[in-house]
Amino acid sequence: MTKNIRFGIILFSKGTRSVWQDIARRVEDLGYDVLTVPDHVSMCAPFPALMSAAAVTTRPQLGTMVLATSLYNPALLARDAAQVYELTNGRLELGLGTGWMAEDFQAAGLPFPSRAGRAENLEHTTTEVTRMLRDAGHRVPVLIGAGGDRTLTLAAKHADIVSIKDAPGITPPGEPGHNQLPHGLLAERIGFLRQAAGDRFDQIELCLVLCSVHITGSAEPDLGMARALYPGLPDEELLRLPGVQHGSEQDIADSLRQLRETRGITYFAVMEYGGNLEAFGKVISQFR
Amino acid sequence: MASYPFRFGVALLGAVGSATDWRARVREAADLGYDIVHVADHLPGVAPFPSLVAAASVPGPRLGTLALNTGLYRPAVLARDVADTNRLIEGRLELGLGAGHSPADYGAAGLPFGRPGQRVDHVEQTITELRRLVDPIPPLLVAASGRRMLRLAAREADIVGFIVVTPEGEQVIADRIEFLRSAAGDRFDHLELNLSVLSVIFTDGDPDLTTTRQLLPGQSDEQLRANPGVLIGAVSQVAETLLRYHEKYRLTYFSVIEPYMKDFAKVIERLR
Repeated sequence: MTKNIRFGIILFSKGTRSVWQDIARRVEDLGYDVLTVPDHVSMCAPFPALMSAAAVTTRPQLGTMVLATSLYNPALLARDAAQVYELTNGRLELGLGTGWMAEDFQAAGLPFPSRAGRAENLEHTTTEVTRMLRDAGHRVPVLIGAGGDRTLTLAAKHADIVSIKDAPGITPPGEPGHNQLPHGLLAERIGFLRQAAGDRFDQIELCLVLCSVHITGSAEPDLGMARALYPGLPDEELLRLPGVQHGSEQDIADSLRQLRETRGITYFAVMEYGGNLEAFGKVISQFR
Repeated sequence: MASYPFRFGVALLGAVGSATDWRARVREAADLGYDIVHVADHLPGVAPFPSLVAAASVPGPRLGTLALNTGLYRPAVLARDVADTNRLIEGRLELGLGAGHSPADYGAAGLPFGRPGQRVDHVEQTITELRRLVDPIPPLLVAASGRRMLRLAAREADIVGFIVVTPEGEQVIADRIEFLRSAAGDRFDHLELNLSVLSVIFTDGDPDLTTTRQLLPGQSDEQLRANPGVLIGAVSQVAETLLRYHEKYRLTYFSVIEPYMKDFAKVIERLR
Protein backbone atom coordinates (compact mmCIF):
# COMPACT_ATOMS: atom_id res chain seq x y z
CA MET A 1 0.00 0.00 0.00
CA THR A 2 1.35 3.44 -0.88
CA LYS A 3 2.18 5.45 2.18
CA ASN A 4 0.87 9.00 2.37
CA ILE A 5 3.38 11.77 2.01
CA ARG A 6 3.87 14.03 5.02
CA PHE A 7 4.85 17.67 4.67
CA GLY A 8 6.97 19.52 7.18
CA ILE A 9 8.43 22.98 7.61
CA ILE A 10 11.64 23.92 9.45
CA LEU A 11 11.04 27.39 10.87
CA PHE A 12 13.93 29.77 11.40
CA SER A 13 11.80 32.71 12.47
CA LYS A 14 12.26 34.43 15.75
CA GLY A 15 10.12 37.26 17.01
CA THR A 16 7.52 38.27 19.48
CA ARG A 17 4.96 35.79 20.71
CA SER A 18 2.30 37.08 18.35
CA VAL A 19 4.61 37.01 15.31
CA TRP A 20 5.66 33.45 16.09
CA GLN A 21 2.13 32.27 16.79
CA ASP A 22 0.84 33.87 13.58
CA ILE A 23 3.43 31.88 11.64
CA ALA A 24 2.38 28.69 13.46
CA ARG A 25 -1.26 29.33 12.54
CA ARG A 26 -0.26 29.94 8.92
CA VAL A 27 1.66 26.66 8.87
CA GLU A 28 -1.46 24.88 10.08
CA ASP A 29 -3.73 26.68 7.62
CA LEU A 30 -1.48 25.73 4.71
CA GLY A 31 -1.95 22.09 5.62
CA TYR A 32 1.52 21.17 6.86
CA ASP A 33 1.66 17.91 8.80
CA VAL A 34 4.71 18.82 10.88
CA LEU A 35 6.00 22.10 12.27
CA THR A 36 9.65 21.87 13.25
CA VAL A 37 12.42 24.08 14.54
CA PRO A 38 16.19 23.75 14.23
CA ASP A 39 18.61 23.93 17.15
CA HIS A 40 21.33 26.56 17.27
CA VAL A 41 22.41 28.75 20.16
CA SER A 42 21.75 31.81 18.00
CA MET A 43 18.20 30.70 17.19
CA CYS A 44 15.11 30.26 19.31
CA ALA A 45 15.20 27.66 22.10
CA PRO A 46 13.46 24.66 20.53
CA PHE A 47 11.13 23.44 23.26
CA PRO A 48 9.81 26.86 24.28
CA ALA A 49 9.20 27.59 20.58
CA LEU A 50 7.27 24.37 20.09
CA MET A 51 5.19 24.93 23.24
CA SER A 52 4.26 28.37 22.02
CA ALA A 53 3.28 26.97 18.61
CA ALA A 54 1.29 24.22 20.34
CA ALA A 55 -0.83 26.81 22.13
CA VAL A 56 -2.36 28.09 18.88
CA THR A 57 -2.54 24.98 16.70
CA THR A 58 -4.09 21.54 17.00
CA ARG A 59 -3.22 19.55 13.93
CA PRO A 60 0.45 19.61 13.01
CA GLN A 61 2.96 17.42 14.79
CA LEU A 62 5.68 19.45 16.48
CA GLY A 63 9.28 18.50 15.97
CA THR A 64 12.89 19.36 16.54
CA MET A 65 14.92 19.23 13.32
CA VAL A 66 17.26 18.36 14.86
CA LEU A 67 18.58 18.81 18.39
CA ALA A 68 22.34 19.18 18.66
CA THR A 69 22.68 16.36 21.16
CA SER A 70 26.21 17.31 22.22
CA LEU A 71 24.79 20.41 23.90
CA TYR A 72 22.49 18.52 26.26
CA ASN A 73 22.50 16.36 29.33
CA PRO A 74 20.45 13.28 28.37
CA ALA A 75 18.42 13.21 31.60
CA LEU A 76 17.40 16.85 31.22
CA LEU A 77 16.66 16.33 27.55
CA ALA A 78 14.47 13.33 28.34
CA ARG A 79 12.66 15.39 30.95
CA ASP A 80 12.01 18.25 28.49
CA ALA A 81 10.91 15.87 25.73
CA ALA A 82 8.55 13.95 28.03
CA GLN A 83 7.05 17.21 29.26
CA VAL A 84 6.47 18.59 25.78
CA TYR A 85 5.04 15.25 24.65
CA GLU A 86 2.56 15.24 27.55
CA LEU A 87 1.66 18.91 27.33
CA THR A 88 0.96 18.64 23.59
CA ASN A 89 -1.07 15.42 23.92
CA GLY A 90 1.51 13.44 22.01
CA ARG A 91 2.32 15.84 19.17
CA LEU A 92 6.07 15.80 19.70
CA GLU A 93 8.42 14.16 17.18
CA LEU A 94 11.84 14.23 18.79
CA GLY A 95 14.47 14.86 16.15
CA LEU A 96 18.07 14.26 17.24
CA GLY A 97 21.31 15.04 15.45
CA THR A 98 24.99 15.30 16.19
CA GLY A 99 25.28 19.05 16.19
CA TRP A 100 27.65 20.36 13.57
CA MET A 101 28.05 24.12 13.92
CA ALA A 102 31.32 25.01 15.63
CA GLU A 103 29.79 28.28 16.88
CA ASP A 104 27.20 26.37 18.92
CA PHE A 105 29.85 24.42 20.76
CA GLN A 106 31.92 27.54 21.27
CA ALA A 107 28.92 29.42 22.67
CA ALA A 108 28.18 26.53 25.01
CA GLY A 109 31.76 26.50 26.22
CA LEU A 110 32.37 23.04 24.79
CA PRO A 111 35.28 21.84 22.67
CA PHE A 112 34.22 21.03 19.12
CA PRO A 113 34.37 17.23 18.93
CA SER A 114 35.63 15.31 15.92
CA ARG A 115 33.05 13.77 13.63
CA ALA A 116 33.49 10.49 15.51
CA GLY A 117 33.06 12.29 18.82
CA ARG A 118 29.86 13.94 17.64
CA ALA A 119 28.53 10.60 16.41
CA GLU A 120 29.37 9.08 19.78
CA ASN A 121 27.46 11.84 21.59
CA LEU A 122 24.46 11.15 19.36
CA GLU A 123 24.69 7.43 20.10
CA HIS A 124 24.93 8.00 23.84
CA THR A 125 22.12 10.55 23.96
CA THR A 126 19.84 8.51 21.71
CA THR A 127 20.16 5.32 23.70
CA GLU A 128 19.81 7.10 27.03
CA VAL A 129 16.89 9.32 26.05
CA THR A 130 14.92 6.58 24.29
CA ARG A 131 15.39 4.31 27.28
CA MET A 132 14.24 6.99 29.74
CA LEU A 133 11.20 7.88 27.64
CA ARG A 134 10.26 4.23 27.28
CA ASP A 135 10.67 3.63 31.02
CA ALA A 136 8.35 6.57 31.68
CA GLY A 137 5.79 5.15 29.24
CA HIS A 138 6.06 7.92 26.63
CA ARG A 139 6.01 6.62 23.07
CA VAL A 140 7.63 9.65 21.52
CA PRO A 141 8.50 9.16 17.84
CA VAL A 142 12.23 9.63 17.36
CA LEU A 143 13.75 11.10 14.22
CA ILE A 144 17.48 10.86 13.66
CA GLY A 145 19.39 13.06 11.25
CA ALA A 146 21.98 10.77 9.72
CA GLY A 147 24.39 10.72 6.80
CA GLY A 148 27.50 8.75 7.66
CA ASP A 149 27.72 5.01 8.26
CA ARG A 150 27.85 5.32 12.02
CA THR A 151 24.82 7.57 12.41
CA LEU A 152 22.84 5.57 9.87
CA THR A 153 23.61 2.40 11.80
CA LEU A 154 22.35 4.09 14.96
CA ALA A 155 19.24 5.29 13.14
CA ALA A 156 18.62 1.80 11.75
CA LYS A 157 18.37 0.55 15.30
CA HIS A 158 16.51 3.36 17.10
CA ALA A 159 14.79 5.73 14.71
CA ASP A 160 11.13 5.83 13.75
CA ILE A 161 12.02 8.44 11.14
CA VAL A 162 15.38 9.02 9.45
CA SER A 163 16.27 12.32 7.86
CA ILE A 164 18.85 11.32 5.30
CA LYS A 165 21.63 13.82 4.89
CA ASP A 166 22.52 14.17 1.26
CA ALA A 167 24.56 17.34 1.43
CA PRO A 168 28.09 16.40 0.40
CA GLY A 169 29.48 19.31 2.40
CA ILE A 170 29.29 17.27 5.58
CA THR A 171 30.99 14.19 4.15
CA PRO A 172 34.73 14.68 4.56
CA PRO A 173 37.40 13.29 2.21
CA GLY A 174 37.88 9.56 2.66
CA GLU A 175 34.29 8.93 3.76
CA PRO A 176 31.86 7.14 1.45
CA GLY A 177 29.93 9.69 -0.53
CA HIS A 178 32.59 12.39 -0.50
CA ASN A 179 32.42 14.29 -3.75
CA GLN A 180 29.63 12.04 -4.89
CA LEU A 181 26.83 13.94 -6.51
CA PRO A 182 23.87 14.15 -4.15
CA HIS A 183 21.41 12.14 -6.27
CA GLY A 184 23.76 9.20 -6.24
CA LEU A 185 24.58 9.78 -2.61
CA LEU A 186 20.95 9.71 -1.56
CA ALA A 187 20.30 6.35 -3.19
CA GLU A 188 23.51 4.89 -1.80
CA ARG A 189 22.82 6.10 1.76
CA ILE A 190 19.28 4.75 1.72
CA GLY A 191 20.74 1.46 0.54
CA PHE A 192 23.14 1.47 3.47
CA LEU A 193 20.28 2.16 5.89
CA ARG A 194 18.18 -0.61 4.40
CA GLN A 195 21.04 -3.05 4.86
CA ALA A 196 21.73 -1.92 8.43
CA ALA A 197 18.07 -2.02 9.42
CA GLY A 198 17.19 -5.40 7.94
CA ASP A 199 13.62 -6.33 8.90
CA ARG A 200 13.21 -3.06 10.75
CA PHE A 201 13.56 -1.01 7.55
CA ASP A 202 9.84 -1.17 6.76
CA GLN A 203 9.05 0.48 10.08
CA ILE A 204 11.23 3.47 9.33
CA GLU A 205 9.85 6.58 7.65
CA LEU A 206 12.35 8.24 5.30
CA CYS A 207 12.59 12.01 5.42
CA LEU A 208 14.30 14.40 3.03
CA VAL A 209 14.97 18.03 3.82
CA LEU A 210 14.33 20.42 0.96
CA CYS A 211 16.19 23.69 0.85
CA SER A 212 14.36 25.27 -2.06
CA VAL A 213 10.83 25.05 -3.43
CA HIS A 214 10.19 27.34 -6.33
CA ILE A 215 6.96 27.55 -8.33
CA THR A 216 7.77 28.64 -11.91
CA GLY A 217 6.34 31.96 -12.89
CA SER A 218 6.99 33.55 -9.52
CA ALA A 219 10.37 35.31 -10.01
CA GLU A 220 13.68 33.45 -10.27
CA PRO A 221 14.54 30.57 -7.95
CA ASP A 222 16.53 31.68 -4.92
CA LEU A 223 19.46 29.28 -4.80
CA GLY A 224 21.29 30.99 -1.95
CA MET A 225 20.60 28.24 0.57
CA ALA A 226 21.26 25.51 -1.98
CA ARG A 227 24.62 26.99 -2.91
CA ALA A 228 25.59 27.15 0.77
CA LEU A 229 24.61 23.53 1.36
CA TYR A 230 26.14 22.08 -1.79
CA PRO A 231 29.25 24.17 -2.35
CA GLY A 232 30.96 23.93 -5.70
CA LEU A 233 27.97 22.64 -7.65
CA PRO A 234 26.99 24.78 -10.64
CA ASP A 235 23.41 26.06 -10.68
CA GLU A 236 22.29 23.59 -13.40
CA GLU A 237 23.34 20.75 -11.10
CA LEU A 238 21.69 22.36 -8.07
CA LEU A 239 18.39 22.54 -9.94
CA ARG A 240 18.50 18.77 -10.49
CA LEU A 241 18.96 17.90 -6.80
CA PRO A 242 16.14 16.19 -4.92
CA GLY A 243 16.45 18.86 -2.22
CA VAL A 244 15.86 21.64 -4.75
CA GLN A 245 12.36 21.45 -6.17
CA HIS A 246 11.07 23.69 -8.93
CA GLY A 247 8.42 23.70 -11.58
CA SER A 248 4.66 24.06 -11.47
CA GLU A 249 2.81 22.83 -8.39
CA GLN A 250 1.85 19.71 -10.33
CA ASP A 251 5.46 19.14 -11.49
CA ILE A 252 6.75 19.34 -7.96
CA ALA A 253 3.98 17.12 -6.65
CA ASP A 254 4.88 14.56 -9.32
CA SER A 255 8.55 14.86 -8.43
CA LEU A 256 7.77 14.08 -4.79
CA ARG A 257 5.61 11.13 -5.80
CA GLN A 258 8.51 9.95 -7.92
CA LEU A 259 10.87 10.18 -4.95
CA ARG A 260 8.38 8.13 -2.95
CA GLU A 261 8.24 5.57 -5.75
CA THR A 262 11.96 5.24 -6.37
CA ARG A 263 13.53 6.07 -3.00
CA GLY A 264 10.73 5.34 -0.53
CA ILE A 265 10.81 8.88 0.87
CA THR A 266 7.44 9.84 2.32
CA TYR A 267 8.24 12.86 4.50
CA PHE A 268 9.53 16.10 2.97
CA ALA A 269 10.53 18.93 5.28
CA VAL A 270 11.27 22.27 3.69
CA MET A 271 13.50 24.92 5.24
CA GLU A 272 11.77 28.23 5.81
CA TYR A 273 13.80 30.31 3.40
CA GLY A 274 12.80 32.72 0.65
CA GLY A 275 9.23 31.92 -0.37
CA ASN A 276 9.42 28.26 0.57
CA LEU A 277 6.68 28.31 3.22
CA GLU A 278 3.96 29.54 0.86
CA ALA A 279 5.30 27.76 -2.22
CA PHE A 280 5.36 24.38 -0.53
CA GLY A 281 1.88 25.16 0.78
CA LYS A 282 0.70 25.27 -2.83
CA VAL A 283 2.34 21.89 -3.45
CA ILE A 284 0.58 20.44 -0.39
CA SER A 285 -2.76 21.44 -1.95
CA GLN A 286 -1.98 19.08 -4.84
CA PHE A 287 -2.21 16.19 -2.41
CA ARG A 288 -5.37 17.11 -0.53
CA MET B 1 13.40 53.48 51.74
CA ALA B 2 11.70 51.61 48.94
CA SER B 3 8.46 50.07 50.01
CA TYR B 4 7.29 46.80 48.58
CA PRO B 5 3.66 45.72 48.41
CA PHE B 6 2.76 42.20 49.42
CA ARG B 7 3.20 39.63 46.65
CA PHE B 8 1.96 36.08 46.77
CA GLY B 9 3.17 33.09 44.83
CA VAL B 10 2.19 29.45 44.57
CA ALA B 11 4.50 26.62 43.52
CA LEU B 12 2.64 24.02 41.47
CA LEU B 13 3.97 20.60 42.30
CA GLY B 14 4.16 17.15 40.81
CA ALA B 15 3.36 16.02 37.31
CA VAL B 16 2.01 18.44 34.76
CA GLY B 17 -0.17 16.14 32.63
CA SER B 18 -2.10 17.48 29.66
CA ALA B 19 -2.18 21.14 28.69
CA THR B 20 -5.82 21.35 29.74
CA ASP B 21 -5.13 20.03 33.23
CA TRP B 22 -2.09 22.25 33.62
CA ARG B 23 -3.90 25.38 32.48
CA ALA B 24 -6.77 24.63 34.87
CA ARG B 25 -4.35 24.63 37.80
CA VAL B 26 -2.72 27.87 36.66
CA ARG B 27 -6.14 29.43 36.14
CA GLU B 28 -7.20 28.48 39.64
CA ALA B 29 -4.10 30.19 41.03
CA ALA B 30 -4.86 33.27 38.96
CA ASP B 31 -8.50 33.33 40.09
CA LEU B 32 -7.47 33.02 43.73
CA GLY B 33 -5.40 36.17 43.37
CA TYR B 34 -1.85 34.84 43.23
CA ASP B 35 0.63 37.23 41.67
CA ILE B 36 3.00 34.56 40.47
CA VAL B 37 2.99 30.84 39.72
CA HIS B 38 6.20 28.89 40.19
CA VAL B 39 7.59 25.57 39.14
CA ALA B 40 10.40 23.77 40.91
CA ASP B 41 13.33 21.97 39.26
CA HIS B 42 13.85 18.31 40.02
CA LEU B 43 14.88 15.15 38.22
CA PRO B 44 12.51 13.43 37.77
CA GLY B 45 10.15 16.36 37.69
CA VAL B 46 8.56 19.14 35.73
CA ALA B 47 10.59 20.62 32.85
CA PRO B 48 10.57 24.27 33.85
CA PHE B 49 10.67 26.23 30.59
CA PRO B 50 8.18 24.21 28.53
CA SER B 51 5.79 24.26 31.51
CA LEU B 52 6.01 28.02 31.93
CA VAL B 53 5.37 28.62 28.23
CA ALA B 54 2.31 26.38 28.46
CA ALA B 55 1.18 28.19 31.63
CA ALA B 56 1.35 31.51 29.78
CA SER B 57 -1.83 30.65 27.92
CA VAL B 58 -3.53 31.77 31.15
CA PRO B 59 -3.28 35.56 31.34
CA GLY B 60 -2.36 37.34 34.55
CA PRO B 61 0.14 35.83 36.92
CA ARG B 62 3.84 36.16 36.46
CA LEU B 63 5.61 32.87 35.91
CA GLY B 64 8.80 31.74 37.55
CA THR B 65 11.20 29.06 38.65
CA LEU B 66 11.65 28.47 42.36
CA ALA B 67 14.32 27.63 42.04
CA LEU B 68 16.51 26.22 39.30
CA ASN B 69 19.26 23.82 40.25
CA THR B 70 21.74 26.06 38.51
CA GLY B 71 24.51 23.44 38.40
CA LEU B 72 22.49 21.26 36.05
CA TYR B 73 22.70 23.77 33.20
CA ARG B 74 25.28 25.05 30.73
CA PRO B 75 25.08 28.84 31.09
CA ALA B 76 24.84 29.67 27.37
CA VAL B 77 22.13 27.10 26.71
CA LEU B 78 20.28 28.24 29.84
CA ALA B 79 20.59 31.84 28.65
CA ARG B 80 18.83 30.89 25.43
CA ASP B 81 16.01 29.16 27.30
CA VAL B 82 15.62 32.15 29.62
CA ALA B 83 15.64 34.77 26.86
CA ASP B 84 13.32 32.93 24.53
CA THR B 85 10.91 31.78 27.21
CA ASN B 86 10.68 35.35 28.52
CA ARG B 87 10.07 36.68 25.01
CA LEU B 88 7.43 34.05 24.26
CA ILE B 89 5.60 34.76 27.52
CA GLU B 90 5.81 38.50 26.94
CA GLY B 91 8.09 39.42 29.81
CA ARG B 92 6.24 37.55 32.56
CA LEU B 93 9.26 35.51 33.63
CA GLU B 94 10.94 35.76 37.03
CA LEU B 95 14.01 33.58 37.17
CA GLY B 96 14.72 31.96 40.51
CA LEU B 97 18.16 30.40 40.85
CA GLY B 98 19.49 28.20 43.60
CA ALA B 99 22.78 26.48 44.32
CA GLY B 100 21.07 23.10 44.54
CA HIS B 101 20.30 21.23 47.71
CA SER B 102 19.31 17.78 46.54
CA PRO B 103 22.08 15.34 45.58
CA ALA B 104 19.40 13.12 44.02
CA ASP B 105 18.74 15.66 41.27
CA TYR B 106 22.41 15.77 40.34
CA GLY B 107 22.75 12.00 40.55
CA ALA B 108 19.83 11.57 38.17
CA ALA B 109 21.63 13.86 35.71
CA GLY B 110 24.86 11.92 36.10
CA LEU B 111 26.52 15.03 37.49
CA PRO B 112 28.59 15.34 40.68
CA PHE B 113 26.89 17.20 43.51
CA GLY B 114 30.22 18.78 44.34
CA ARG B 115 31.09 20.94 47.32
CA PRO B 116 28.85 23.83 48.32
CA GLY B 117 31.58 26.27 47.27
CA GLN B 118 31.65 24.82 43.76
CA ARG B 119 27.91 25.08 43.46
CA VAL B 120 27.96 28.71 44.55
CA ASP B 121 30.75 29.41 42.02
CA HIS B 122 28.52 27.97 39.33
CA VAL B 123 25.62 30.23 40.30
CA GLU B 124 27.94 33.20 40.18
CA GLN B 125 29.28 32.28 36.73
CA THR B 126 25.78 31.59 35.48
CA ILE B 127 24.52 35.00 36.57
CA THR B 128 27.48 36.66 34.85
CA GLU B 129 26.73 34.79 31.63
CA LEU B 130 23.01 35.56 31.86
CA ARG B 131 23.73 39.28 32.23
CA ARG B 132 25.98 39.11 29.20
CA LEU B 133 23.61 37.16 26.97
CA VAL B 134 20.07 37.97 28.04
CA ASP B 135 18.71 41.40 27.27
CA PRO B 136 16.32 42.35 28.69
CA ILE B 137 17.08 40.13 31.65
CA PRO B 138 14.09 39.07 33.75
CA PRO B 139 14.03 39.77 37.49
CA LEU B 140 16.43 37.43 39.29
CA LEU B 141 15.53 35.69 42.50
CA VAL B 142 18.49 34.17 44.31
CA ALA B 143 17.67 31.52 46.89
CA ALA B 144 20.14 32.04 49.71
CA SER B 145 20.84 30.58 53.11
CA GLY B 146 24.62 30.43 53.54
CA ARG B 147 26.88 33.46 53.66
CA ARG B 148 28.39 33.15 50.19
CA MET B 149 24.98 32.92 48.55
CA LEU B 150 23.74 35.80 50.72
CA ARG B 151 26.69 37.92 49.56
CA LEU B 152 26.03 36.93 45.95
CA ALA B 153 22.36 37.76 46.37
CA ALA B 154 23.28 41.10 47.92
CA ARG B 155 25.26 41.97 44.79
CA GLU B 156 23.20 40.42 42.02
CA ALA B 157 19.63 39.63 43.01
CA ASP B 158 16.44 41.59 42.54
CA ILE B 159 14.68 39.23 44.93
CA VAL B 160 16.21 37.14 47.71
CA GLY B 161 14.45 33.88 48.51
CA PHE B 162 14.51 32.47 52.02
CA ILE B 163 13.43 29.02 53.12
CA VAL B 164 13.94 27.26 56.43
CA VAL B 165 14.12 23.49 56.23
CA THR B 166 16.34 22.83 59.24
CA PRO B 167 15.02 22.77 62.82
CA GLU B 168 15.77 26.39 63.52
CA GLY B 169 13.22 28.96 64.50
CA GLU B 170 12.52 32.48 63.39
CA GLN B 171 15.92 33.70 64.57
CA VAL B 172 17.61 32.10 61.57
CA ILE B 173 15.60 34.34 59.25
CA ALA B 174 16.45 37.35 61.37
CA ASP B 175 20.14 36.48 61.18
CA ARG B 176 20.17 35.90 57.45
CA ILE B 177 18.35 39.13 56.70
CA GLU B 178 20.68 41.04 59.00
CA PHE B 179 23.67 39.54 57.23
CA LEU B 180 22.12 40.39 53.89
CA ARG B 181 21.46 43.95 54.98
CA SER B 182 25.07 44.52 55.98
CA ALA B 183 26.42 42.82 52.83
CA ALA B 184 24.14 44.82 50.56
CA GLY B 185 24.56 48.26 52.11
CA ASP B 186 22.59 50.78 50.05
CA ARG B 187 21.48 48.07 47.69
CA PHE B 188 19.40 46.46 50.45
CA ASP B 189 16.56 48.88 49.76
CA HIS B 190 16.36 47.53 46.22
CA LEU B 191 15.97 43.91 47.28
CA GLU B 192 12.55 42.31 47.49
CA LEU B 193 12.54 39.65 50.23
CA ASN B 194 10.72 36.36 49.73
CA LEU B 195 9.86 33.62 52.20
CA SER B 196 8.78 30.09 51.28
CA VAL B 197 5.70 29.20 53.29
CA LEU B 198 5.79 25.48 53.90
CA SER B 199 2.46 24.98 55.63
CA VAL B 200 -0.73 26.92 56.30
CA ILE B 201 -2.77 25.30 59.04
CA PHE B 202 -5.99 26.98 60.18
CA THR B 203 -6.88 25.91 63.69
CA ASP B 204 -7.85 27.27 67.06
CA GLY B 205 -6.47 24.18 68.79
CA ASP B 206 -3.84 21.59 67.90
CA PRO B 207 -2.54 21.91 64.36
CA ASP B 208 -2.70 18.93 61.99
CA LEU B 209 0.95 18.56 61.05
CA THR B 210 0.60 15.45 58.87
CA THR B 211 1.70 17.11 55.63
CA THR B 212 4.32 19.23 57.37
CA ARG B 213 5.93 16.12 58.87
CA GLN B 214 6.23 14.64 55.37
CA LEU B 215 7.80 17.82 54.03
CA LEU B 216 10.33 18.10 56.85
CA PRO B 217 11.02 14.57 58.04
CA GLY B 218 13.05 13.93 61.15
CA GLN B 219 11.89 17.00 63.06
CA SER B 220 9.80 17.09 66.22
CA ASP B 221 6.39 18.71 66.21
CA GLU B 222 7.78 21.45 68.41
CA GLN B 223 10.50 22.19 65.87
CA LEU B 224 7.97 22.19 63.03
CA ARG B 225 5.72 24.62 64.89
CA ALA B 226 8.67 26.94 65.45
CA ASN B 227 9.56 27.05 61.74
CA PRO B 228 8.89 30.59 60.46
CA GLY B 229 7.48 29.13 57.23
CA VAL B 230 4.91 27.01 59.07
CA LEU B 231 1.90 29.26 59.69
CA ILE B 232 -0.61 28.10 62.28
CA GLY B 233 -3.70 29.73 63.73
CA ALA B 234 -6.94 31.36 62.72
CA VAL B 235 -6.94 33.10 59.33
CA SER B 236 -6.67 36.45 61.06
CA GLN B 237 -3.71 35.26 63.14
CA VAL B 238 -1.86 33.96 60.10
CA ALA B 239 -2.43 37.32 58.43
CA GLU B 240 -1.07 39.01 61.56
CA THR B 241 2.05 36.85 61.39
CA LEU B 242 2.74 38.00 57.85
CA LEU B 243 2.17 41.62 58.84
CA ARG B 244 4.67 41.13 61.64
CA TYR B 245 7.19 39.61 59.20
CA HIS B 246 6.62 42.60 56.94
CA GLU B 247 7.20 45.04 59.78
CA LYS B 248 10.10 43.30 61.49
CA TYR B 249 12.02 41.71 58.58
CA ARG B 250 10.74 43.50 55.52
CA LEU B 251 9.55 40.16 54.14
CA THR B 252 6.84 41.09 51.66
CA TYR B 253 6.69 38.25 49.11
CA PHE B 254 5.39 34.88 50.26
CA SER B 255 5.35 31.68 48.20
CA VAL B 256 3.23 28.76 49.27
CA ILE B 257 3.15 25.21 47.90
CA GLU B 258 0.16 23.94 45.96
CA PRO B 259 -1.49 21.83 48.68
CA TYR B 260 -2.10 25.07 50.59
CA MET B 261 -3.13 27.19 47.62
CA LYS B 262 -6.82 27.51 48.52
CA ASP B 263 -6.28 28.08 52.24
CA PHE B 264 -3.54 30.64 51.76
CA ALA B 265 -5.83 32.55 49.41
CA LYS B 266 -8.01 33.35 52.45
CA VAL B 267 -4.99 35.02 54.02
CA ILE B 268 -4.25 36.92 50.82
CA GLU B 269 -7.78 38.34 50.92
CA ARG B 270 -7.16 39.73 54.38
CA LEU B 271 -3.92 41.38 53.40
CA ARG B 272 -4.98 43.08 50.19
